Amino acid sequence: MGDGENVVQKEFRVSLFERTKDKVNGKLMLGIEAFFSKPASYLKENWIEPMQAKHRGNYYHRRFRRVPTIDECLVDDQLCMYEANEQMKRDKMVDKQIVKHLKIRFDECRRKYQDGAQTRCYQTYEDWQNTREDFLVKWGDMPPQHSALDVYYKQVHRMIHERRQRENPENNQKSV
Amino acid sequence: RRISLSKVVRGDYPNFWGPGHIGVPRFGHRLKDYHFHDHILQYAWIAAVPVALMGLYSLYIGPAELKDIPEGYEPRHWEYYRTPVQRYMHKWLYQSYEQAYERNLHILDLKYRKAESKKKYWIVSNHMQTNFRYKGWYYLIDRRIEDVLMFDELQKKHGMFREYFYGRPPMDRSNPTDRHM
Repeated sequence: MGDGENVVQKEFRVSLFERTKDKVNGKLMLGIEAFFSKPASYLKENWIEPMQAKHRGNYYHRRFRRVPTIDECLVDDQLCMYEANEQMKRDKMVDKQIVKHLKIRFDECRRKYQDGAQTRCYQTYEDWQNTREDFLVKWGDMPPQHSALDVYYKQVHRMIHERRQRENPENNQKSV
Repeated sequence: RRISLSKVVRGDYPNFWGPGHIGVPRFGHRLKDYHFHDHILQYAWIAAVPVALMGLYSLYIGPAELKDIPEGYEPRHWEYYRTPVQRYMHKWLYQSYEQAYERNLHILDLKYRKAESKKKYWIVSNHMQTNFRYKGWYYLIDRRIEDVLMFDELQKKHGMFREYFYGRPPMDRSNPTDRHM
């Protein structure tokens, strides 16, 4: 549907029975949750946090330098190839997490706008699907044990294909 | 001890080869149950002790806070982990990511050098085998190199080296690409 312009705004009134039901259910559920969480929160904030503050440490995220990629390596240079491979794996992990977080955003949006998700969550959906497509274009259809050379040659073949498409648009052959 | 009613009414039937029929009530052996529970508890205690110790250690010290790396400071490899148990393990037991990386690079370097030498040996050996009919002049080692090095060393030590036994000027080493042949 997705028709957000001509929506009819009707006035509605909830009955007393429904309102009491909402209050009781809300308070009941919140009460049950509080029964278990209040003691734990109290202990954590007043007893455990001060004890831990004296001995706790700091942790950091690793930072990696950029090393030469596989196209800048000499042939049979094993060290350069190893470092390029590791860098490729790290970049792939980063891209995977990006796609994952976009999906999480979409799901959170759907959870927030339950029935209005079709209209209000389309942007998140588009972001996720486009990023996913780009991820598959860059990293997909690889053999299970692939190296930086496989990824690089995929890019090379893709660029050659694009160039040929541009040069001869009448000779474009659609794959089966 | 109370006897469970279901066993009396339903007739907890015995195995096929035992005496009696399906309606005869059989009562379990209490001692067998206690013996089995003892075994289960002993098996659980083996894991429960280290888990409890690690839990108390974690509770006492607490998880670490995420911070930016300060300028001019290189964190140790265990300071990249959050929980105190992880930090302890990576500090005392495990080796760091950088260590494994450099070790792998070293191994690859050794293999690479060995492979390069083998390639050259194969080329030369193949050439010699294909040209075995040609005149095989032999090659002598160039002894002048040692003399030059000795001359340089003594020049450094004594200043001017008095050429009693050699009586020749030093070699022209202005062109470094010429091979000593």
